[in-house]
Amino acid sequence: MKHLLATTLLTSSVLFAADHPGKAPYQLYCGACHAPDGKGISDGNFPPLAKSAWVKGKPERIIEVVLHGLQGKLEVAGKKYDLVMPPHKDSLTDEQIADIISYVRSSWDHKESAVTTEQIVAMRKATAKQTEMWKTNQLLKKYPIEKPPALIDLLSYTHLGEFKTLTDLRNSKAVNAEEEKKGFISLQHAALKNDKRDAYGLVWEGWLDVPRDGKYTFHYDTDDGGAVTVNGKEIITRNYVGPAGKPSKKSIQLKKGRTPIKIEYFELSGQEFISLAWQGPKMRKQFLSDTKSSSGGGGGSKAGQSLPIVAPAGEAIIYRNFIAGTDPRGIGVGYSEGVNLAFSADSMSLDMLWKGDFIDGGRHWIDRGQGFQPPAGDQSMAINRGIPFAILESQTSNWPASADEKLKPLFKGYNLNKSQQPTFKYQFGPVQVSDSPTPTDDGSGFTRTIVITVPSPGSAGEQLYFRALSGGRVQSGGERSFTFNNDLLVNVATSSLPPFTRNDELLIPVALTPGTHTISILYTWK
Amino acid sequence: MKNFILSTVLVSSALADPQQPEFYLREEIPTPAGEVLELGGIAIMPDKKIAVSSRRGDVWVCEGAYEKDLSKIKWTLFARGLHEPLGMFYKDGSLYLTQRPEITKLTDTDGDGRADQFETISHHWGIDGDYHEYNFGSDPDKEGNIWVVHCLTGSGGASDKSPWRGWCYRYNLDGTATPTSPGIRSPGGIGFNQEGDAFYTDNQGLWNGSSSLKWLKPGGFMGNPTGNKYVKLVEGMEEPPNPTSGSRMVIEHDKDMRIIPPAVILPHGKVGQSPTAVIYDNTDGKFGPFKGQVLVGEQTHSQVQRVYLEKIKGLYQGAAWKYLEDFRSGIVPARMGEDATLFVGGTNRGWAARGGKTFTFERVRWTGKTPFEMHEMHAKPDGFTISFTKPINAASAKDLESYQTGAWTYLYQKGYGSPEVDKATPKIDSVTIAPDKKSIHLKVSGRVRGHVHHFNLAGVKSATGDSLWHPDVYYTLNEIPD
Repeated sequence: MKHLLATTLLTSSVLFAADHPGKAPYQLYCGACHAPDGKGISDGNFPPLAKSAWVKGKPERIIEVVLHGLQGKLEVAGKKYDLVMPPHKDSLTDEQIADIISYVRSSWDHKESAVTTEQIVAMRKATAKQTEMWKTNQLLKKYPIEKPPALIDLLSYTHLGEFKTLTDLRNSKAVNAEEEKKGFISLQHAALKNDKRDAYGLVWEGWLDVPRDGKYTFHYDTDDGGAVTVNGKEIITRNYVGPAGKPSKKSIQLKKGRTPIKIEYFELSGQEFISLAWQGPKMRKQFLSDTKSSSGGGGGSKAGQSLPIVAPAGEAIIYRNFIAGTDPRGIGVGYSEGVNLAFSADSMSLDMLWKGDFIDGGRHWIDRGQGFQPPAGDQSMAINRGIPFAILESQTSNWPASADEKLKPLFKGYNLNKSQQPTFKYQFGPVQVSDSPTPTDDGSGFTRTIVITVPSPGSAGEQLYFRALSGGRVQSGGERSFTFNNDLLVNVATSSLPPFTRNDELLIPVALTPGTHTISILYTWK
Repeated sequence: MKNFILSTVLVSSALADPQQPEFYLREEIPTPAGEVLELGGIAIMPDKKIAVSSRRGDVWVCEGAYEKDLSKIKWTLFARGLHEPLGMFYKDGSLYLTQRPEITKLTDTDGDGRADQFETISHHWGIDGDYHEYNFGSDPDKEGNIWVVHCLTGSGGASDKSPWRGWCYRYNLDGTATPTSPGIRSPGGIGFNQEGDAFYTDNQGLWNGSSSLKWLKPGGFMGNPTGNKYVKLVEGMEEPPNPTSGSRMVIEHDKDMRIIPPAVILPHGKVGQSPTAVIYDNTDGKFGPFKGQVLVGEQTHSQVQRVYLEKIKGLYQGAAWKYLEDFRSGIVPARMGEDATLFVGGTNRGWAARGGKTFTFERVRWTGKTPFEMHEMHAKPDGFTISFTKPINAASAKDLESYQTGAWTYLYQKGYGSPEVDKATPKIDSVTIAPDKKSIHLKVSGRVRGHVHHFNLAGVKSATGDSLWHPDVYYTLNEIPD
C-alpha cells in the first residue's frame, strides 16, 4: 500500500479531507469538456460551468441536465453553443452525481447549496419518463434561467414631445417615472398614450456593477437619437434623427464598484430602436437592452456564424453536404459567373438552380453541423425532384415515384475540367449518362449537355423519357422554347425527338437505340 | 507528501507529460495559411508526400513533412468539396477516401496536381441528413476490401431512410458489398492489427458501458442491436443477436457466441473518453520497443494509447496502456509514415479535447532512448505474465507492496454508458521473475472473467532504479486460458 495509484486517488479522495469529494469525479468525467477550472476547454469553445447561470439557483435544472443530457442551441455568458451533453443517469452513480453537482455549485466562487444523494434518487424517480435527452428550449421552459439585473436601481422617465435633438429632450419634463426591477432598458417601458409610438423620449438612470478596474467599451445604437453618460461623463452622443444600424462605440476607464449611468433616447416618428451593450476586461459583450443590435453583436460566439463559400475567380466550387431542396447525397456547385446548382447523387436529378451567392458553410462547419442548409442566393428554381429518366408505357403514363428495377439510378462520380466545373457521370440500368451543366459567359443561366449512351436496343415499343422540368408551371413558347414558373426560359436546343409538355412537366423522349443521344438545354432567368 | 502526489496527478491530466520528450519527439506540422484543416484522414504517397483530408471536405498534399525543418513544408490543394471524409489511403496513383455518401477514388489524370476524376466505388448505404451518420473507412485488406463502419443515426437511432447504420460492411474496389458485422454504435476509427484482422473503436454510450477496441470478426455482433432492423431488407438474412439489457458482456456471449466482447476496454475517463484511429506499429522497432502492437488514437484526451492483443479461446483480448500525449487537439486519424514517423491529426469541433486547438497536424519520432515500460501482458491459467522493455530490479518486483490491483466490469445495457460495477480486488499470491529479469509471472487469485483487471506497478523499478513511465495497465480478461 506504499504507493497509491493515480486512479485510486482520483476515486478515493475521501482520504484527503481538503478536497471536495466531487472534485476527482468532476475532473475525470466532466473536465475533458468543461475544463478542470470550469471555464470550458479550448478557451471556452465548450460551455463554461464557472459563473454559469445554468448551474446556479435551484439545483433541479442542473440535476436534470446531468441525468438526461441536453441538446440544442444554448447561450452561456453571452456565447452561443450548439453541442450535445450526453446523459449520465446510466454511467454515474447517484452518489457520484450528487458529489459532482455539489462540487460545481461550490467551486469557482459559487456559493450555491449542495445536493444530496437522496435528492438525485428522488429526481431520478420523478423524471423517469424523460427517456430522451432534453431539448434546450423544453428544459428552459421547465426551469428558466434567472438573469441577474444588468443595471441596478434603474429608473425610467418618459418624456413626450417631437424631439429632434438632445436639447429638445433635455428641455422637456418627464411625464412619468418608473422603477425597472428587471434591470434592462426597453422601449416597451415608455408610458405612452393610445399606443402611439412616435414623438417620445426615454431617460434611464441607474448603476452599473463594474466587476474590476479597467477599460470598458459601450456600444449604443438608436432610432432616432440619444446619449450615454457614464460616471458623469457623456461618452456617446447621437444628436440626430435617423435610422439605427451604425452603433456608436466608445471606451472609458472605470474603477471596480457601483458606477452611475444615464441613458437618453428620443424617437420622432416611424421606426424605433434601441440597443446598448458593454464589454470590458475578462468580460464578454453584454447587452443592457432587451433589443440587440445585430451589427458586431454576439461577443465572439461561433454558433450561427456565417462562413460563405465562394467560387474563386474563373472556377467553380463544389459543396457536398446536406442542402435544403435536394437529397442527402446532394452536390452543390457554385460558379464564379454568379450562378449555382444542386445535383442529387441519389436520384441523378439536377434539382435546383439559383443566382447570386452560392451557400453558407456556417451551419455545417461550426460545432457538430446538424440540418440542411438552403442556397444563399436568390431566384432559386426547383426544376425537378426525383429520377429524371424513366420508361413510360405511353406519353400519358404517370411519372414513376421510384425507379424500375432494370433502370436503377447509379451514381458513378464526376470529372472536373480545368475550371473545376463538374461533368456528372451516372447510369440508369445499362444506360450511361454524362451530364455537363456549364454557366453561360454572361451569368444569365446554364447550358446543359446530356450525353446518353445506350449499349443495346431496348425491347420493342419501349420508350425512354428524360424529365427536364417538373413541379411548376410549364408553358410552351414555341416548338423548343418553354417558360417555367414565368421566371426561367428553357430552350431545348438539341434532342433527336421533340420535347413536349404535359401538366407540370417538360419531357424529352430518348430512343432506346444503340449509340449516343445528345440533349442540350439552355436555362436562362428572365 | 501525499497531498503533493494528488495534486500532481490531477494537474498532470492537463499539463505536459514531462518525461515524454526524452523518448518521443512530438512536433506540430504547419498547415496551409488561412485553411481550417480539421483532419479526418492521412495517406502516405510516393516521393515522401503526405495527403490529408479535412472534415470540411478538402484534400491537401504536402512535401517536406519528413524534413527536419518543418517551416519549409509545401502544401498543394488536391481537391475540395468532399463530404466529411474519414479514412483515406493511396493506391496505384489514386487517393481513395470514405466520405459521408460514398467511397470515392480521386485521380489527377492530367498531372497538374489537382484531382480531376472522382469515381464512386460504392454508395451502398443510406444517409438521411443527420450529422451523426459518420462513416469510417479502412485501408484495403488483402482481398481489396475497404472495411467501413457506419455510425448510427444520432446517438442511438437507425433511420428507415438510411439502411446499414450500425453495421460494418466490406466494400471491394470492384464495387461488391459484403455485410460483415452488425452491432456498431458510434465508431471513431478502423484499422488492422499485424495479423490483418480488422478492429474498430466504439464510443461509450448506448450498449457500450465504456469505450473500447472491438474485433470486427466477420459474422460477429459488436454489441448494439439498433441497426438489426435492416436485415428485413434482405430476404433470408440472419437475424442478429438480441441481447438482454442490464446483463454483462461475457454472459451474453456465452448465450450467443456471435456476440463478440470488446477485445480491449479503454476504461471511460481513465484511459481516455473517445477512442479513434486504429493502426499498428509496423516499423520493426524503429518507433521504439513496441513493434507489432496496436496504437489507438484518443480524441477527448488528445492522446495515443498502446494496446497489446492476444487471442485466447478464439477471442481477442489484451492490455491497454497510456502512451503518447500532449497533442494539440483531439486526435482522429493516425498513420505510420516512412522512416518510422507517426503522423496524427485531429479536431475538437463538436467534441471537446484537452489539446485546446481547434485542429492540428503533428508528427512523432522516437528519440532512440528506450523508456522503462511494461512491454507485453499475457493472461495465463493462474495469473498474468508481464514483460518489460528493460531488466527490472528483482527486489522491487518481488515485493507485493509494489503492486496495486483492482477489477470491475460494466453493465451491458441499453442506457448511455455504465458505472464500474461488480468491483473486485484480485490478489497477487506470488511473483516469479524470469532469469533474464525482463518479465514477471504474477500468480493471481480472485480474477473475474469478463472484468477489466487493473494493475499499478508503481513500486517496480528497473535495474537502474527507474520507475515505469506508465505504471498502470488495464487488461480485459474475456477468457482465462486453460
